[in-house]
Amino acid sequence: MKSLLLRLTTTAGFVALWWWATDVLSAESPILSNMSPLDALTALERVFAAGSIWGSIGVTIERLGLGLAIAAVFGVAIGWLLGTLRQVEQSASIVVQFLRMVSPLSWAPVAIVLFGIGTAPVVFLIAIAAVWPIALNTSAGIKALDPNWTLLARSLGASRLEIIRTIVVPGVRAHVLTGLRLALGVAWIVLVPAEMLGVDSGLGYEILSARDMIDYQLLAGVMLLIGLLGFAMDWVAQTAFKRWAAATA
Amino acid sequence: MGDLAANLRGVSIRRGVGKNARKIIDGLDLEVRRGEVLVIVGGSGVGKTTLLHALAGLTTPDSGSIDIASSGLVFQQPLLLPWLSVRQNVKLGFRFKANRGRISGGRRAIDAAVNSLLTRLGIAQLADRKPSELSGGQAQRVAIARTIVASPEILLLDEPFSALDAATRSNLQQWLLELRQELSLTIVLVTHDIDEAITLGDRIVLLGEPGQPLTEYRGDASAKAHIIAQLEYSI
Repeated sequence: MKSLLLRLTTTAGFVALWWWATDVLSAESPILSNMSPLDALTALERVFAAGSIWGSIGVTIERLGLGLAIAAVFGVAIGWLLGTLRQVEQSASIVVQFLRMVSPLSWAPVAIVLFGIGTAPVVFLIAIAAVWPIALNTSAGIKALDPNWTLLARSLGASRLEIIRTIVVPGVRAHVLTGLRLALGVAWIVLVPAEMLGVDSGLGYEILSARDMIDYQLLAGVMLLIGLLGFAMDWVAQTAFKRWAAATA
Repeated sequence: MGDLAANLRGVSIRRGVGKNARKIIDGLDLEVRRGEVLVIVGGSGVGKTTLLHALAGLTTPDSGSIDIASSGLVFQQPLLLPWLSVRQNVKLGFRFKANRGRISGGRRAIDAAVNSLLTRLGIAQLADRKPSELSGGQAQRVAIARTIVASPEILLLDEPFSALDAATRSNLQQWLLELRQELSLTIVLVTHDIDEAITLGDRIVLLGEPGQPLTEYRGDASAKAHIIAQLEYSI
């Protein structure tokens, strides 16, 4: 109860600071004075009432889901290889660290050349950004498995497939879920700038569109919406993963 | 095999490859009689665990033969799966296809067998706990329950009490003797603790260097001085 009160107070303090920075400190600024909390909420009310924003949210979430799904498939496969085959891990470590450190957005020109303009390059950028947290966590999970568990399962008569189903998958699950949650955060951060690359829908596009229409109220509103959606998704993921991890821990 | 629960003839096991290959066990003959507690002692690296793994079918001998009744192995560490409850860990004994045939009646029969065993072993109150909530002694009891739930004829134990404190170890040794009586188990125990060997063993076998014949003792106090002398000699 005390911590909830503290959180609410801090959040209220942040909103007050936002209001002070825009409505008081930047009252003379033609841009910032239109980006107060009240302006953001008014703009959001307007676009939700018109219904236009729902399409953008849907498209953005769809791209996020697709990108994460592709990242999960490749990430788990790469993590599996890195975690199980020491030679692969040793030989690929420099390449993996290098690729991990290349900013996902620097792939944008390559993505556009490869996939043209539209949803495909956005999904590609999300997948590139999200694949490493999943791969590295999967690999760490596999390495954390006690090799004696396999010996134990074999002593109880388990086949190779039964060992994977009974020991490896549940043993690695919590790590993969942690990787997915981290990937969700990274993907959400990359998604918005990725949607500024020549697409004509999505929340990133809405930001550019608001700027082009000199609608700074809407700009603040979409920024607020992006933050709220990211917060909500992380909360849902955290709650769901905690529940799944509790079932496997 | 008649009175024998296991019969090993001329068993040799090698480890390593090429120049690094060395024989761990060389031409070993050993008989395990039904209903006995056979204790295997020996210095470090003489192949006690390898022998036990060969009996459990985890290691295939390079030559020789092993005839053995159904067996179950208990490791030095309990190796309970941390994401499963005690009950689910014990159920693992039935989970794999190879052991499922040992009980008929499906899931309900398995649940009944597990619950009944946990009660018989005096650990029913632990059934819903996770391994992290168990003491070392409790965890090892659960590990033994997991091994015997599918009713193996031979229980193979690899220094199962070595990580426990003296009081818990003594307690578990008595518990194991009661268990053996109640379930008419044949037990093969590997230990480096001579007192444990004498407390539990009907027969004690001293495993020497590869190729050396086994030295056998009766499991009574008179064996202790001989075994210690032999071990010191071999060290």
